[in-house]
Amino acid sequence: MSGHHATAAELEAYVLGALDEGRVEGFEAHCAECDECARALAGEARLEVAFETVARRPSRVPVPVTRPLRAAAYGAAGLVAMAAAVLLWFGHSPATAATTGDGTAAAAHHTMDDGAILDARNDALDGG
Amino acid sequence: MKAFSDALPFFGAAIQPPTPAVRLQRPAPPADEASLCASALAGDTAAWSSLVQRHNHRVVVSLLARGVRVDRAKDIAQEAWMRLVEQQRQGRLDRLQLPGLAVAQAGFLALEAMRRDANARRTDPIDEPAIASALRDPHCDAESTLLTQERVSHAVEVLSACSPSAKKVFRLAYGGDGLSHAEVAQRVGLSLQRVRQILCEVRAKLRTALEGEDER
Repeated sequence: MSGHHATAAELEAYVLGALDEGRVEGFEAHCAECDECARALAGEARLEVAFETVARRPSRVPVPVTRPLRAAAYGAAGLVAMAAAVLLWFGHSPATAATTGDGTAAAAHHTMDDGAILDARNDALDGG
Repeated sequence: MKAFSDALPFFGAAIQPPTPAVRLQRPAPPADEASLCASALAGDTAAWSSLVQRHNHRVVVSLLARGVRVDRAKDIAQEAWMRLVEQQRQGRLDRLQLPGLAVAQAGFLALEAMRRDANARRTDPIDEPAIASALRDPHCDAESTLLTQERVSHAVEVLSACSPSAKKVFRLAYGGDGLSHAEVAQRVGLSLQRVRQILCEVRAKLRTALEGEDER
């Protein structure tokens, strides 16, 4: 082992604690002497530590932001809508409906009167 | 190293080279982490031994990530465990959160050793670059810190794009609780082989994100 440089697979396996038991001693002896492999091992270990950092960091979940002005505007719009609904409701209340009914009947009656007048005029013209 | 083993027999197991049994093929522990920590805090040597076996490799890897050579890293990790045991014996340890506490202790010892080496070199009127290099902490370089932060953010996005089960498996395995792959498999209800396959896939994606395009 001390004769050849550590491979990427060996570095990863060592950091994971999965390198074959028989190869660990030689691997460590080589990395203790070889600058290049020591640097590569440090890089692999940094990666492992970074994995832990990533695992502990919460995922980015979009957090709903409350905007006071927008909330007030929505509130006001809601109140206006409720007021409009109330007005519409009372606009169709039975009392109003009765008034409207009388008016319609009067208008119908008035229309009939106008029709009768027109008929009378036509009869007069025909007769004349 | 032999003195450590004589003083505290359980370090004999801890200083063995990391094997698959350390993390990947470790048999199920007789007790869970919390009860082991509680026993260790009560002075149970067997519990300390189990905890050292369980977390020592993680401590060594953290030192390797700081640029410490592997032989030195193993010595420092061992010393860190010794300090923790000493603190427990002196009643100065009321909580035991592993492997974080051991990693922090080992990091402190590594920095202390670096300063000591630098001071020793300072007596010689030579080799200023070597002193600067010894004192340089790779985590303190602003540019590299920014770059690392950027890549970690990118990796977080990559992880977010993974399937929910893959994210869960990865977070359990790397979340800092020191769970073995077998324990992760047990928790998520998947086979050990499937857990390893998922981890392999996620690691490959994150490796690409963390190493960046320029290093490929």
